[in-house]
Amino acid sequence: MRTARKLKSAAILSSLLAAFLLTVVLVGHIIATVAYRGLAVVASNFPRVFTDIPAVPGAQEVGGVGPHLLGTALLVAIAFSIGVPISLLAAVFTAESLKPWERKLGKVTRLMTHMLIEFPTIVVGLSVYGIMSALTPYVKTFVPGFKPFSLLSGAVALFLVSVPYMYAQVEDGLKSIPQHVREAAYSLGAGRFLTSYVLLKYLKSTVYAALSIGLARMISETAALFFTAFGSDVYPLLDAQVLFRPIGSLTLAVYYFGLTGYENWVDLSWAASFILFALSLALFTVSKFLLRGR
Amino acid sequence: MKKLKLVVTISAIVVLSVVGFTVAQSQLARREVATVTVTPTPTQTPTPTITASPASITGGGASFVNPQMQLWIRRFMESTGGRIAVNYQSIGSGAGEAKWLEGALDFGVSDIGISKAGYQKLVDSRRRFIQIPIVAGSVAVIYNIPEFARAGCELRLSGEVVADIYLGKIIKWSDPRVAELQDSRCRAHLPDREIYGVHRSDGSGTTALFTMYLTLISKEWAEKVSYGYTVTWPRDQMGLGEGARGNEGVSAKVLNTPYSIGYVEAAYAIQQKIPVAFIRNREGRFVKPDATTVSEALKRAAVDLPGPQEFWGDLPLKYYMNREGENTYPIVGTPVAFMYLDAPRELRLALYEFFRWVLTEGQKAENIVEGFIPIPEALRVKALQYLEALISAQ
Repeated sequence: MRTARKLKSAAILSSLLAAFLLTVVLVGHIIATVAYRGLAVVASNFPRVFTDIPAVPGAQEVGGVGPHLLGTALLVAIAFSIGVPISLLAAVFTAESLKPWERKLGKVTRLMTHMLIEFPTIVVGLSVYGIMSALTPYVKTFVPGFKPFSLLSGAVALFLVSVPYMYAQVEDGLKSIPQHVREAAYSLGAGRFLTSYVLLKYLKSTVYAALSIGLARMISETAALFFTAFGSDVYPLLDAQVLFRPIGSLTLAVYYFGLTGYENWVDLSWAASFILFALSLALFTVSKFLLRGR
Repeated sequence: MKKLKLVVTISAIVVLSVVGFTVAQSQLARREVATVTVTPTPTQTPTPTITASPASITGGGASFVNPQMQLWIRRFMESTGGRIAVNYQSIGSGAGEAKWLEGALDFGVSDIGISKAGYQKLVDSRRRFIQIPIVAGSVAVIYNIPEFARAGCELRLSGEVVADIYLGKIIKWSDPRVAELQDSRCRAHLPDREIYGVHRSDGSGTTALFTMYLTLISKEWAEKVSYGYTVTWPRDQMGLGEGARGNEGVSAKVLNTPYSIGYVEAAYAIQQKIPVAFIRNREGRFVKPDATTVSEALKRAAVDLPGPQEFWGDLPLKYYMNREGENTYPIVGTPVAFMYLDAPRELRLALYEFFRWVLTEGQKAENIVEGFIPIPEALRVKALQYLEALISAQ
């Protein structure tokens, strides 16, 4: 009897250990490969890898991912600056609704957003492309350079991909705040706007964590960008029309360069993966650090 | 409270002002007339040099030409000091054509020319456009016969035999129809093994060229299979063949499967040093794809190349393939670039400048990626003629 129990315990323990080791090995392998292959390229081409355009295929040097880095920065900056206020406001609206019609609208918002989370991001990208294509003839009268492949489309796609995450996190956080906190705010004579502000402040670390998750999603998104940002391996002309021109991104660089048979381009793909990895690792660390405060 | 309001207001102002600024700028830009200077070049070339104003052109399409396009773009942008930014992304021939038709791209590149459906759309909408060949390409038949490799033999095939292999009518390497093509010394080394037929599983211009050739050569292939970016492979249904993704996939499959046969873009086969079969040409000579044999075929096609607005979807089949000449390789094609003639003038000038560069400087050896083949002089001259429509169009 006892030996049977002991055996069972040993079996379960060892299978747990095996599962743990498997995970560690797999994650470790990914990190090690990216670091090993990517870091070497980044280090040997530092700092030009951050500013140069990719070298010609089959050349000795690799060049750099400058246009892609710039593209990711611009895309994320625009998507983030529109996404943050909207996701925060939407979260407050759904979590803090009082009147019946507000509650109904809030429910619909929540449902839609949760559906959007489940959407394959390539579909999001395609639908943005479709909308932009449909808009093109009308917008063209104001902006002759308007095309569906643009920085603007890319930013809209990233916005749609990441807002549901930020929204859901903040909304969950708001819902978890005990009712008496709200009542305390209201009883002191605070209006709804001020109360919401106080609640968001109360949730500071959750909000920051939500935003950094949103940011990480934007940085690492690929599929939504295929038919929106489209990609570019050269620097765009940085004039007023830049919003309406295609732009590169690090993730697209990983994809396109990784698929080719040229060694220097494959190296470049690894370099881009490493930069992406470093960025998301930094964000992950920051969000962990912020969440610890709770 | 105040802070939040402030943040919201500031971000709203920033977004609105960026949009407003861009709209205003582009309105201004619209009013500016493109600065075009037409100056005759001092010597030799009688064609005027056209300098387009700063512009940004976006193209996309065939992935096969991507390395070559990227090299051209780099060199072209260096030569113009970045005045014209060219962006090309390898989204595939089909997507390139579709997105160009939808107006999302300034130019498209496809492995074999605009498809029938796409051409019909263009005709229906009465859009004016041109198509030009930009570089030469060809398809190599690759194989893996260990006995041949050991004996230092090289495989010889004819179009009919290749068609019958993929149709499933020739089962084994030792088939008399294969044997009769071989060198007398090598004939005995043909193994009594089943041939494994590898092909592309993804839609590709290479498959389109290969199946076009088989369609041209074999009546039965034309009736049963025909040509396209993807086709249904009869040999697969017999369990004697399978698909693989990309040139890489097909060559890896062939290299790892003894007694197999496959086809890849010739540039790729040469680069990767995969055994390439000789193909019997119209004059009965056995030739391999290389710069000379491919140019020989295209040189002859230049004479009867159809106009730039004709249907080019079967151009290789009708004009390029199985041409006369002793040293002519039969399975050739040219990636084709297409652009609208009713595009804004500034854009047309920028496109003109870029593609003119591609067809002149771009065809020089120092601007050609290893494995690619420049188009022969006769075809190049014809393409340059077609390109002139970009400036003369209203």
